[in-house]
Amino acid sequence: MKRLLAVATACWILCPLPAAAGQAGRGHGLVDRLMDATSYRLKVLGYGTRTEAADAPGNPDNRILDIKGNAAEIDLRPDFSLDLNRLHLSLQPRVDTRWEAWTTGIKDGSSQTDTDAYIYQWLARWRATDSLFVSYGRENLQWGPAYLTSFSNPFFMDNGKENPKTEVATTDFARAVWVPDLTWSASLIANTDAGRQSIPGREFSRRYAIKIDYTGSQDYASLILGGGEAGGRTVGGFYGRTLSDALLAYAEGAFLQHPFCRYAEPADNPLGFAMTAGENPGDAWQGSFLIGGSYTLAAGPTLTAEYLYYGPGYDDAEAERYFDLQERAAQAVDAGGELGALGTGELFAAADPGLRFLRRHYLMLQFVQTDMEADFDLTLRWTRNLDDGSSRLTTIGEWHGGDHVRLFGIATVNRGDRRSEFRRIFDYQFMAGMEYDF
Amino acid sequence: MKRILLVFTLLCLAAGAVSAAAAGGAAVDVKAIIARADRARGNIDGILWTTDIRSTENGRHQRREIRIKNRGVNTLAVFLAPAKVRDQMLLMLDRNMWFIKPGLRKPVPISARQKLMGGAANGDIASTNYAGDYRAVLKGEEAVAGEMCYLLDLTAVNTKATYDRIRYWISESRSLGMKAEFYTVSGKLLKTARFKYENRVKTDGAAHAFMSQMTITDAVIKGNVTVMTYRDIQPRAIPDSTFNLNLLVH
Repeated sequence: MKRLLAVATACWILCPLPAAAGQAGRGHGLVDRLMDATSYRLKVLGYGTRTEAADAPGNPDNRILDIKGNAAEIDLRPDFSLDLNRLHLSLQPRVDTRWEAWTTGIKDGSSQTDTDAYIYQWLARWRATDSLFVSYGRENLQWGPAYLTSFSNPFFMDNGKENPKTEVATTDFARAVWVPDLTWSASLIANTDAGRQSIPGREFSRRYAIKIDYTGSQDYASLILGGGEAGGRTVGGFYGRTLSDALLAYAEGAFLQHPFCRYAEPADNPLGFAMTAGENPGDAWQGSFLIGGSYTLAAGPTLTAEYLYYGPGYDDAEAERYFDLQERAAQAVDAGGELGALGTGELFAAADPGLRFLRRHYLMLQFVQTDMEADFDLTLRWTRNLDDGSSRLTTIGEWHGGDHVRLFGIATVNRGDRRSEFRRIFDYQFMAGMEYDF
Repeated sequence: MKRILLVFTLLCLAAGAVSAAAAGGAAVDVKAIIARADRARGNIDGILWTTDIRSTENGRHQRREIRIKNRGVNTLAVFLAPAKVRDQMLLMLDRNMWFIKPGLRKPVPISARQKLMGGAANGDIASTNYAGDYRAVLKGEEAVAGEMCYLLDLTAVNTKATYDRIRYWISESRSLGMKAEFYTVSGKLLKTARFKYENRVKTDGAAHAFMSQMTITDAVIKGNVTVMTYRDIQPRAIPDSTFNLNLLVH
């Protein structure tokens, strides 16, 4: 009976296989039809990176973060997919080979070569009915209209916009998507495993979300309710509107609990401070929002501006304590012994306080022009921390050498004083490389 | 004398009738004509086609091959070639538009005005809804490629339209858009498009003409030309889920 059920299920999935475009004249055997239902692409990416670690209190002489001064990497990125009658399967294995060399810090003068083979993304999606889809897989699940961040997304802090050549770490999801009509849809999302999102010192706990989407004739909106086994409930959403053929406006916001955020609080230890989770984190709801808009000039460029307020970020006093702690911890590291160990521990804790942004008020301006003369695309993005005055300028240039080759360069330059957000980690980073699509 | 008066009266009546027919304003249902022209440019409830785009811009040659899934004013465009843009997508839900790049995953909201390639804007690859987006005034008649056309002056009725003003020539006999001039608010001519209809599709039990080529010429640099060729036209039911962002991003 079980075997009969399995055969019947397989027939339901496989038959009829889709009649893919451009298959006229091909055979009608199972292999031919499977080949028609299969697609793939292959990208090879090679690049070099030069990074200048910042002389920051949180990373004295690059001894805490061990930032690599020079690196070179070749990535093989094949993507496969198979579309059967009701089943969609995709698989994205990766092979990354990298050489890394340290020019400062504990590993100063050393280098290493490493190869990492892994499954970046995979997905099995079942079309139960024309309007109901269920899936499981390892995904980079992104949404929201903004460039800086998506506050309503409880699963990803990184939206991949900072460096379009590096892939955002994926995590495992079970999803059900119901699409009753063109206007409305609803998703149930369960984050079941950390996947490639590993955060040192932090245990994974399952998280869930309900996402309800609306799309009108010239606007769209989503409401996202999130929660998890370890708390951290969120109520978020975004709204976008097409104001004209050239002008777009959008907003995004969320109220969230932040049990994972850490603050430098007075402590009874030789440093006088310790990184600790906020008091009563289960009750601490914080609001964050972003507003933005973009305008496309008749000449071609698109200009974008975003302002964001991040509730959990440090205020002036909290930032003072944070940098004070780092400076005292750095001195303790120099002293060595038990005090040094305490200092090292606090510096590691301070390196990732669990915040999307360190402070509260930010402004971003962006210029994008694609398909310029000489096959060149250019993105200039300037982000300013309005609280401490530090800023980051990111320049992304791409040159298209025919149908397959792209040369690219990404320059990120941070400005600010030693006790500012954007100079916490590195002063500048230059990345240059080539990608080839087969 | 009576005979002269009778002849004069008849002449006046005949002249009036000819004049009214020439003006055509009362007799011609402009909106219906534009709606029929929209249908031949893809505004159909469920249709797939492939567009080959070839552009020459300041001596630079580019190409794109795009598979279009269209339902009314909703369009999903999947880039097939060249390799560097394969599987990129443009999703247009009425006037909302997103660009999806494989690898980045996050859909980016974009505007219809943003350049696609050469002289083509993002809005140019979608079906047209001129009947809904523009107010039309019949300005007269002119021949285009030897075919008598209504000359219509279209003004955007809302800010959603891709162009502020369009001069549109629609064939009187076939109700097909033959030529269009696209203008800015200030009245500056941006580009001119000419259309061919050598494809046939069958919808609602009847066969009708469907666009086979759109040639866009820059108003300033006449050598900057973008040619969009339409093929593999397939009327087909397209489910709502085809246009859902949650399912496209995977």
